[in-house]
Amino acid sequence: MHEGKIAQYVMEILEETVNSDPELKTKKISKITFSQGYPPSVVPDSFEFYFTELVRGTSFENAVLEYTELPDISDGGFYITSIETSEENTGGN
Amino acid sequence: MEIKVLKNVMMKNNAIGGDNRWRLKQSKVFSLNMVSSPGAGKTTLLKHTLGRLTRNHKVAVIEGDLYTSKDALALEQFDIPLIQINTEGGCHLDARMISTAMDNIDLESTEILFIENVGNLVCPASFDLGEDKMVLLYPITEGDDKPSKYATMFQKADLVIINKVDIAPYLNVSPEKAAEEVRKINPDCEILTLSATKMETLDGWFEWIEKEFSLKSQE
Repeated sequence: MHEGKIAQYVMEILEETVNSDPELKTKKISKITFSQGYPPSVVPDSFEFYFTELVRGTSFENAVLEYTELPDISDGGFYITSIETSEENTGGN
Repeated sequence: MEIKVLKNVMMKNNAIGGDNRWRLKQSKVFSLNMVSSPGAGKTTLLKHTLGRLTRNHKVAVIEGDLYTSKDALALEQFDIPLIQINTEGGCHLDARMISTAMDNIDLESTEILFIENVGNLVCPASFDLGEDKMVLLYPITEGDDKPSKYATMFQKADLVIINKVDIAPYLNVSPEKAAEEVRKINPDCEILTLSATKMETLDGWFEWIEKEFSLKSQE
């Protein structure tokens, strides 16, 4: 259930990342990759339930979410590894 | 185009947890994050602990619950700063809630701060509050197989208290086996065995608090 809070944190970090880059700001995001160690602290299905609500109407709305494992990490961390932009423009400036 | 981000999502919480830790250190407050499943005996233990500790120490309590002020009411008899946080369905306390609660406590005149987390044996493990020690209450009535099933919480605990051992003879469970199981998951934590309702079993717990409080005071 803590995935709701984690989805909020993810949103804040994504917005900070995009807002710090003028070029990125105009792009739609096509993919977001996450990674976490073992034992995992985030259940992807539950996370996506909240995340889908939060991204509605943003440039992340149609992004595909991918998860990879980081077996060497055991700090319970949940990482945003990378984001990918599509060629499509958001239409904004 | 792919852009590397590599940011720990929990940093949003951990940064505030770090600030909390710094504030507590500046004011020389020893803080404990009490975690467990619901009904493990956190409030009962806290009640007996306050009865004893408030004789010699300036104690404050932050109570976390999904709903109601029942736990805070149970501690109202003590004339101490007591902040109730209702998470309104949230399954854990996070660092920001503690930061706000700490704004309402005079830290300079506090020596020991107890934070009673929401009863949950999974989620609180992911949220650093800035506390000095995480204390996990593990009632033997839940069975001696829980440490490996809820590994993250047991891994993070500094002290595991095996509680309700007075009932163990009536159940098919063994406090010794439970302690062994804790050791397998977390070889470094300290383990105490007691019954929170029986004052005469709490000496080890009080000694542990005094020991850790004095270590913290020397920092």
